[in-house]
Amino acid sequence: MLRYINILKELISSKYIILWIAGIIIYVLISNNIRADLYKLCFPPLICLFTVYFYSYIDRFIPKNNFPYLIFFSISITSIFGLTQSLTGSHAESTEPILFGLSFYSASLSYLLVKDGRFSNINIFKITNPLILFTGPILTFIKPQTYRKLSLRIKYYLPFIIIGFFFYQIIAVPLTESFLLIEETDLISTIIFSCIFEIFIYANFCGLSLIIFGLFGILGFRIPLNFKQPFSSRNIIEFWKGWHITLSTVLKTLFYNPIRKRFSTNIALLGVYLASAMWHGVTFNFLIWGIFHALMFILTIKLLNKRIPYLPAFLMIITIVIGRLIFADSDSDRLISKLLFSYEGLGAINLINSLPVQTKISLFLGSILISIEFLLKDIKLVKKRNYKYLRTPVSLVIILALSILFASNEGVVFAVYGQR
Amino acid sequence: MQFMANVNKFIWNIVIPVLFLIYVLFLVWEHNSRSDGNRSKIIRQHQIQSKSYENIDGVILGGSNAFFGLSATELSQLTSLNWVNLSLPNEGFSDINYLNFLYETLDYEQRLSVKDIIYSSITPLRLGRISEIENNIYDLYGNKGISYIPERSLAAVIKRYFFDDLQENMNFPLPLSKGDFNFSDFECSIFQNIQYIFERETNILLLNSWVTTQMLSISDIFPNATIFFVVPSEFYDNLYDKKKDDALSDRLSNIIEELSNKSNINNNNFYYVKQKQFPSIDYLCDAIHHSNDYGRTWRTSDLAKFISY
Repeated sequence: MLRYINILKELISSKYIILWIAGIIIYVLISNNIRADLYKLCFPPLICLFTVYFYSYIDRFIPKNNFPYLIFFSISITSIFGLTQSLTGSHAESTEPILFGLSFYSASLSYLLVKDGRFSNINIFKITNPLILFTGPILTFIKPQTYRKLSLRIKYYLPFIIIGFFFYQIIAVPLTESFLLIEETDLISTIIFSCIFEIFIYANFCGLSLIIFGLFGILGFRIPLNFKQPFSSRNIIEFWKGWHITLSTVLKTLFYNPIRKRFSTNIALLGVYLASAMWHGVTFNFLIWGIFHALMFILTIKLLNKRIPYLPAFLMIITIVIGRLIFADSDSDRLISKLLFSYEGLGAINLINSLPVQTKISLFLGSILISIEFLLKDIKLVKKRNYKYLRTPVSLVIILALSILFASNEGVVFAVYGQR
Repeated sequence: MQFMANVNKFIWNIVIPVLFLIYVLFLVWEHNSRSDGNRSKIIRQHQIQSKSYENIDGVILGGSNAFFGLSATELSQLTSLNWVNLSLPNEGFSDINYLNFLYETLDYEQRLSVKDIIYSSITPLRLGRISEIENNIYDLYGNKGISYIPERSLAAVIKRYFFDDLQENMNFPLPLSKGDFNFSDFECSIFQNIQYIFERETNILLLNSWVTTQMLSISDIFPNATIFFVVPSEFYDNLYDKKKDDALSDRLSNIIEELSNKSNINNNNFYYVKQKQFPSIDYLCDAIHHSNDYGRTWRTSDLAKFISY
């Protein structure tokens, strides 16, 4: 008992308590069902503490080296048993509140175990923070704050929150009204849906990550940017360096490095993408998605080695669009129909026209942002890949003005990676 | 350089705070100026009228599809029973809101006397609607507390101001004596803007749990009634997908059949009824599930055939 009291004392006296308080306050503010949400938040730390306890006895059953992988793939196991749903990005509530946040805290736990070889109570407190349960294994990489003064922190970090809000609320949320397009299987509709869904996933996930980045910064903690203008890339390798960076780091540590020690780069890459695919969901579409991305990555390496110009960029666009098409649809029959790429006219244009005006505006704004990232990637403000071009005072005024003009209740509010 | 520094300072110290202030003021204004589309008056009217209802044989329940599309008066004539219509726009925004409304509107004696219930809901016909209802934050009248996101965007408010958008101004008329929709006080003139959609709920677990819970809750309110779960008529133009429609219909039919096989549920019987599609757009008022006066007569008489006496 005394041991647990000491653990509790240690957690409460740590500086991370402020992040937990902030997390709970934000959940209370945005929650539609406060009781149910607060109930869900109890489970991540409890399950982590149980895992730590279990860890000391684990070598009786399985080799300790394998334990991090068991933790990492726990989300795949729950997916097989139907306890969690595939992470396709469409709205899907977890049917088991006890497993809320499992995908991210299990990834963080397994990473810390491989990196440090042990668990600590403080780490558990960090990785189960409510705010990162829908934005990635971010707090695994937390650093001390460089700006000491609050006013300086606000000046630096507030723009990230404004941009994040714009991405999430103004671009992503209204785009949910276009999800009906997932049902269409003809070539044009499939490609259009894939492009819209890519914008949605980016704006939703990156928006939330930027809000959390800004919020933690103001509270005095520096976490990594989870997205670094991924579309300012020349090839798919650069793209992945700017997309969901914290998960990429976890995957690199857990899979790429150990596999690479024994096998070739190609095998290591295939291993990483298959592991990532199974983490997203044990379904047919993710299996194809993993193999497809690994092959495109390997092909890009070969093209770059041969110094072939433009083709890697073209391949990146194809990979992003087709990759998202596969990622988004866990209905195998429908996915196969889509992958036949049958041209059946331009009916999709009518569907786009029938979308609400707000959704069309969001689509336009999202397309503009991605075009700026891609086409202007060599100009100074865009080159650093830290959203500097959106953080200039003039850009902020434009973003704020657009936010005030278009913020509305249209669309479904949810975090793409916060479903389980 | 100095000029740019001054401009940046001006933006940070004046423009951005002013924009924040404008947003907050707009949120407050928008919250206070929100219209409930006459919902509170409709609910009050139902509650006043219900006091005079005697010997109710049947009650029509559901959302706007039933409010627009089913007539208690016509059903009373067709079945020689006394029907009332207690359907509400948006089905009260949540199941709990609606069920509480039913408890508050009819007293215990009235509820005991009810022999038939028609529950007509579009919820299974909309993808994700069940989750939406479960996470709903609106009360029975469609109000919610002040939020950091306005209900309508500033752009929509400006557009309405200049172009007087009809859809924004829509107020439902007060119900007639048996709770029916009063078409003489409502203009079905915006059918040109009808958005065609064909969706079906695909989450079987969610569907199963929602239908079961709804039917059991209704059976608790009306313990002696035969309950008809009705899938309402809609018009889909060329979007209709028979395969998906049949799949949902089979699922719903199985759920209701399973429910009727359970012996210990009050004195209720449960039946599943699937209504035909509206034959053309001429039967619609302002949405694919909202019939006009003519469409209501067509739908009501179609439904009466299922209820055998």
